[in-house]
Amino acid sequence: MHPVLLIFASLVFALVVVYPLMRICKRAGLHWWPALVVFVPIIGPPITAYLLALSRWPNHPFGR
Amino acid sequence: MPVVHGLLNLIMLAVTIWCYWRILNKAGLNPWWAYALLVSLAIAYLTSILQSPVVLFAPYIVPAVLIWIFAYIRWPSYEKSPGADEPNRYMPYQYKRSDVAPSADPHRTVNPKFGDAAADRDGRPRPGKKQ
Repeated sequence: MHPVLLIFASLVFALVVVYPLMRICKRAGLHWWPALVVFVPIIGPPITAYLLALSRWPNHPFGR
Repeated sequence: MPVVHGLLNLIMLAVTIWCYWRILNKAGLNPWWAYALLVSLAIAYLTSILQSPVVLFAPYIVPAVLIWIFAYIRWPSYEKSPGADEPNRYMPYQYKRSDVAPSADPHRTVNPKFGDAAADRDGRPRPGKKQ
């Protein structure tokens, strides 16, 4: 498959999920900008998940 | 080369599942939902067999749905049970149960022949003891 098509699909996915990711960051007490990493083609979505998984959530009741 | 590409995809999927596991754990949800990402692998495989144009978006359908659902459902670990901090009838004894004798538990029946130092100290009436 042509790489341009893969990048196009990744960007469409980023457009679809960037708003809920911003909302998740906001609920977790983080800044909204890590959600924009999802726009990096191919590796952006896993990196966003990695950021959310390993950062401390300030709004979490137990500070996890 | 296709084998290496497939292996890289599998590693990326495993890392993403691990990340989703941690995120769901933090939110207080069942982390096994992270394995729903494996469905996207099955969809991608089926669409590639059928040579459908959906194969382009197949790996992204399930994660997108999961992310939208996760953003809007309630997160149990963010909720405190109502009235947890308010005074209730069990509260005076709750913090003392661990450091006094078992007879200090108000739900136990204490033999009146034996002294109940904890109850006397707290000024609680003892069952069976005439005041």
